[in-house]
Amino acid sequence: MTISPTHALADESDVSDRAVSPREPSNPDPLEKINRGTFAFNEGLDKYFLSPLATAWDFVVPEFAQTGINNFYGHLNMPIVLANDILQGKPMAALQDVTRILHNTVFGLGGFIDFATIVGIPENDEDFGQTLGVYGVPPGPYLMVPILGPYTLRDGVGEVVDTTASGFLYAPFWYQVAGLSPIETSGASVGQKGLELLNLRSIYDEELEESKKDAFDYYIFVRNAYLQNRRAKVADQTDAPVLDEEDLYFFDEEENGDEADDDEEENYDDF
Amino acid sequence: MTSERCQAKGFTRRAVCALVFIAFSVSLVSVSAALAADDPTLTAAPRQLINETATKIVSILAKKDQTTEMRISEIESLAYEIFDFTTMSKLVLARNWKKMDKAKRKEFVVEFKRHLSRTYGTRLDRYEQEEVDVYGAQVEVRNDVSVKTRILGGQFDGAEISYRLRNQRDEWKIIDVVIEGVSLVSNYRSQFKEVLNGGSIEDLLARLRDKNFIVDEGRAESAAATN
Repeated sequence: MTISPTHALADESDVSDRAVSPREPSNPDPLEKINRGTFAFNEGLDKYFLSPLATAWDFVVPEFAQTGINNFYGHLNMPIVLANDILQGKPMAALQDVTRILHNTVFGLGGFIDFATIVGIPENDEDFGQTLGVYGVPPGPYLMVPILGPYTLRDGVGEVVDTTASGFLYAPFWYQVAGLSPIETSGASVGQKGLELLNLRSIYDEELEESKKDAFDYYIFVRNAYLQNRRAKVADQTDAPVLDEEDLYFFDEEENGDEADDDEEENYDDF
Repeated sequence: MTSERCQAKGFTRRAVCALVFIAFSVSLVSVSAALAADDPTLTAAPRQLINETATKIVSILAKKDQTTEMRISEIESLAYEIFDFTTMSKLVLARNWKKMDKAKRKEFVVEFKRHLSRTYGTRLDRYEQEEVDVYGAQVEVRNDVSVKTRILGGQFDGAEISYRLRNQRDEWKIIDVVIEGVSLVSNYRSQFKEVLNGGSIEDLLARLRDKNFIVDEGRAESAAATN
């Protein structure tokens, strides 16, 4: 590969074009020590409690029902997605999501079947953490939250806002239709969230076990994947990485120009 | 076109016309955006490679008369052809690559290649009724090409998987897989960096060998169990 200085310049400008609403802080995980502790706690909880529960759930609930439940939770969350479409100034996404809500309510048995996807209405994935990101709020430190898992400060705040909004949205149902007291209502909301997590855990059981097995450092695996994925979502660009390392695809070859020719011939694939 | 027909009077009519017009222009915009992203002369070859590979994988996964091991090893040998493991090894090791001598580099590439092919093969084998839609391609820095695909159906319906390819020695090969914005190269790089922070390249090689060995053993066991 020949690398000229002009190429190197072009690369840099291109990389900064691509990226990134707020730049990452230099160390995204200043609380790593504490986070690793919480991570170990969550892993233990998963191993001795969640995972067996998910296995039982998987045994009792057939796959189509798990998918249906997952669809239904997605459907319940659509008003929140819609609100965030609007807050981010995305009228097309908002239109799509209104159409999506109507389709899945009417033709999707109240949300258990994702009819909208079948007829080709795209699904938008927005939340308040992303909305803050779009307005330039940096992600802040990485936080491992007990039971709930990875967040950044920004996205954790976003989650609290979304969950609260969702709670207020569905409280009238629990309160008036189901006749629960306010305390029972908040209990029901927690149960609702718990069931969602359990169902998800059971859907992705094999992926989780395999990722754990394949990882060289599972904590880093999760952190890197979470931060990359959130960055991509804020930039609405899940089909390419939003680079935080400018040298991801071209590391310091320029510095050692004399060795670059050597590398050109270097290929160990055939062994 | 649309605007002429929109001369009709009445509020509802006008509103409907406006909506149709908006929908129409939006779809025009997205079509032209798709065309701009995809420069066919530059991206045709890598795009075709991904297309062919997807077709091959679907047909391997459909061989239900074969054992899981046979299917996985077929996917592995396919992976051997389409990934550039030397480049991937350089990228995941970044600066540490420079510190290694040729023998170590070679050893690393061999082990990393086995590791990736196996994890790739094992995971793919679980995915059944899924289709892959190769919907776009884009020229990247220094003439790399990203080929964009989407999973249709199954548990990962709608998942975006993008492949970054580089042309070296007149061959297009995959140098990164990006799933929902998560780059495999970046993910391995961050993990290896952590391992190398606490240990030497020897330690990393030992971990790789261990993992590959465990996979081998597990596979031998399950093969023995099916026989």
